[in-house]
Amino acid sequence: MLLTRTVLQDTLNTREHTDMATVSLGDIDNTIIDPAVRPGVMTGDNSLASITEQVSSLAEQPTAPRAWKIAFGISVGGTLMLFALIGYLIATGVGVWGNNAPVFWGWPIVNFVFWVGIGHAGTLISAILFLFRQNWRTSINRFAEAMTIFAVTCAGIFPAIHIGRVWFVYWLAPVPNSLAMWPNFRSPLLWDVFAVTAYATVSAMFWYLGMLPDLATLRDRATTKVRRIAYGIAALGWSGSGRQWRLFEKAYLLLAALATPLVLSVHTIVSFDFATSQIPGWHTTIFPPYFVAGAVFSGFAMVITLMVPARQFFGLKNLVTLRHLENMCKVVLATGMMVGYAYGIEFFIAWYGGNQYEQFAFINRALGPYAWAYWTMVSCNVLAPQLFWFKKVRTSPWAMVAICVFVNIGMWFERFVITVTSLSRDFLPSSWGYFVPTPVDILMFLGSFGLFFTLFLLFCRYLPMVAMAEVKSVMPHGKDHSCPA
Amino acid sequence: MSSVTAPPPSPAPTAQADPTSRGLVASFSSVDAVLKAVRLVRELGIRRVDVHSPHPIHGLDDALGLKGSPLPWGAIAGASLGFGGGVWMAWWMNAIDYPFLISGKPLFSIIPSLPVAFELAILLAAFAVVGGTLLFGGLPRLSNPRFRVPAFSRATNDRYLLAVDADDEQFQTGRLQPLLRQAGAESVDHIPVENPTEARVPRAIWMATAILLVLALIPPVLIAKARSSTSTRPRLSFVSDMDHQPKFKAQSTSRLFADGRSMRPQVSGTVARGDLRADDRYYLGREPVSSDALAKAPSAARLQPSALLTRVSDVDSGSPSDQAPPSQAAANIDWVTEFPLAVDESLIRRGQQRYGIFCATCHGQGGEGDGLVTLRALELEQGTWVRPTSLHAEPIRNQPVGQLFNSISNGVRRMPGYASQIPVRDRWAIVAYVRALQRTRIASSSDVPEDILPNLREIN
Ligand code: HEC
Repeated sequence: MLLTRTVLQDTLNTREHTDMATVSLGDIDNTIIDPAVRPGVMTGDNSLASITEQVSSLAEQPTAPRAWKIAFGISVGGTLMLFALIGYLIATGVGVWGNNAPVFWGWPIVNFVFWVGIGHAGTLISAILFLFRQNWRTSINRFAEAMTIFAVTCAGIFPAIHIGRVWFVYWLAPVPNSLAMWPNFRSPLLWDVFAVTAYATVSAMFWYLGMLPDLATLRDRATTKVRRIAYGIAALGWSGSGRQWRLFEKAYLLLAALATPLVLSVHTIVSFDFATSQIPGWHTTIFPPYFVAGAVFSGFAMVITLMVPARQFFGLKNLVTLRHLENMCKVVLATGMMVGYAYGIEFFIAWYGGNQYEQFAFINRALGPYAWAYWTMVSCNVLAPQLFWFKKVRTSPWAMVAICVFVNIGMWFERFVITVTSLSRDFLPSSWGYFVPTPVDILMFLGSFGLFFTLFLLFCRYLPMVAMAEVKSVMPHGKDHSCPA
Repeated sequence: MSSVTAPPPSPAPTAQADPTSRGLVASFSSVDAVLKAVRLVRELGIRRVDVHSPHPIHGLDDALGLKGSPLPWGAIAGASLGFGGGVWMAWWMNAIDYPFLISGKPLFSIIPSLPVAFELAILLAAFAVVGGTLLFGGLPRLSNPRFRVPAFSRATNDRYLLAVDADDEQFQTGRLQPLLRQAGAESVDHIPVENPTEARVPRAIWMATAILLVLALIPPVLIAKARSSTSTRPRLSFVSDMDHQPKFKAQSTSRLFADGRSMRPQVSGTVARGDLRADDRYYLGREPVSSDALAKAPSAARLQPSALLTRVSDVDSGSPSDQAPPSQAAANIDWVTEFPLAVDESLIRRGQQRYGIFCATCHGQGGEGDGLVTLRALELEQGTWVRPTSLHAEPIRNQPVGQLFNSISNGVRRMPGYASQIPVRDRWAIVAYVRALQRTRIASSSDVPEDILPNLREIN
């Protein structure tokens, strides 16, 4: 995979693209990589002012487009349904879910792991690719980071409400209480509380700090008093002074360096929830890397699923180019193969390890009552991404959306398969069971999508969707490329 | 533009004359131009100069003379604090303040405390970095006089602005303005002096905030008052947590029944399943009492026949138990002398096992009255502790099995009864075992079966 390694893009190259592209908003194929020429981050004729105008104007439309309103209405409906169901759950008890002996970890945990995993792509793009100086990330990182935060919000809901007596949720934290008791620091579930809280907080700070310069842009362009005050407060008085930029760049680098091990640790710890137990099929050392790869896999698939319609709808094709999409497809392909490898090695170890319970757990996965879920997972996660070997598929946006939707389905099923097949048939055949979700389970999961899209649509409507300042910093400037007045 | 040279710094800087200006802002359209202008201005000896740009400019730090950064140190401090705090919490909370025993694992070990320590290290380091950025970047600062310069709004868009503060010692409007223009500035503006009333947060907002704060204090104050005072009314429970359940409690009243009691007496003339216990030999360890004997007994004993047997010899408590003479009351009872159930090896083995569980703590495995609890109590020299009777004492050996059974069931003097813990059959099993135990001290070698005899050896 040849990715751009430039800090300052080659001016000449931009000129070339400019000549090719008179229609600056079209799908220009910038995926052909000539090793002699450094590929640019964007296509078309962009200037500082045009970037500002293009991105800011999306957040400045006086009335929302019709399509946005419709999508928002549906999403808010889903959100309201989610909160109504949470109210019902709290008032009635967790019995409204299908969780019951022997499957006490049903959909809530499946949904939790699913959403946390989705979040990982955002941090990966904003932190890890930053450390590797992958400049192409600048036009998609804001978008992906927003997705991270909204996904983690959805994820956090499920474990919080599954504890039963929600009003004691603060017992999860080491808060002095009337029982004079502390949480158990040897429990992976407690580690999980710390990991997810730290992850949500650090991601939100990273996102917000990175957005300050762009919020200042919106403040300075504001035409109404309300907007000026709102963006003014949000921008905290950012003035883009040399001192501030110096701090900003240092802080960004440090946060990226902190977020990188963080993102790897979070899904590792999520996998500990399973791996440190003794249930056959869970108790394996491969879980941490396997979970992290799966998280990146599902996260990138989600970014593509959202990005393709968004760039189409908001006319961002010159910033989020085909090459961005193609790069992401390659990541999906690579991580998909890692996940496939993990599926294979699990079976190998079950056989090689000679533990009959472990062997049964895996035979049961592939051939037992949940075989349908297992093979859904394998076809969506291992087979579907193989299409990305073809460049034609990697460069046709709607084809990749279709594949990525399958990947997301597959990754949800992966968590379902891990959680439910192992629990429903563990050591004692007399206590085996078959898990059936209730309508509340299903509607809550759908409702979490409502919440996710509600937040996402609000983000698209009111915040700078592309990190303007970052895009500008990787554009050619100075020298002869002065801005038209 | 390179032909522009800075005039030599003036020897006698004059104080800032213009009271309506806090400095100058010059707008440039390219990075190169603004960098050049910065160098020119700094050559004049002016230090209070800054550049505002829509993106970070490489080389600007050097031009402005910015060096060093406190952020990495903040990150290191935050990470150390987080890591140390995480390990400390795991140790102090689970091993010291509330020792948490889980599956026999050590109360504290480093590996399981690592995940929390690691996450906290990252979290606090990130707080330090973000906090440091805001602190040293002078944020939040919502009112900035530079924002009032119209050209400034493009500093976040596509222009590079150079700002010079009027309080710099070398600041001279007259000299700077032409210099900046010469360096290629598109515009040069004065920074207006902030109108103090305009910059201030409106009074109404202060008032509203103050009122809200005071109002917000009311609920916590009410809660604090309620928690620290008494009241005759039942407490409010927002989350009932199964506090109130629709059920009758013992000894409560009920309007459901004519007698007003919620506890129901047995229907007269009936015996509950398993409660009949008609066989006195088996259940009480004595020969059945004839009805005229019962009639002669005191009325209390008649109501509850077992009261006759319970603690019959309490009066003797405290006397040296080994020599305690069998009390008169117990001696008068007609104890069974034969086991009222079939005794076989499995029963004795069962008895041995139960004896080990229920009796050996006090009486000792060998029945000498030297169990661990006894030894410990004697060691502590607790005057109230009565040493259990040796089961090998002559009087005990001569007791009928029924009396032993009764001692276990109802206790004797200082020994508590075990009827509630040990089922009837197990009590008989213990008696059988005690009998076997007693035999071990009085048996002769002629009692030992031929085939086992060779295995015996002298022990002292
Ligand atoms: C809590 C300690 C304790 C336990 C347990 C205990 N005993 Fe005793 N036992 C005593 C003491 C003390 C006495 C002497 C009571 C006295 O003289 O006041 C005693 C006395 C006796 C006697 C003599 C009664 C008599 O008539 O003098 C017998 C027999 C006896 N225990 C049997 C048992 C058997 C069988 C068990 C197991 C079911 C048992 N004990 C469990 C403390 C215990």
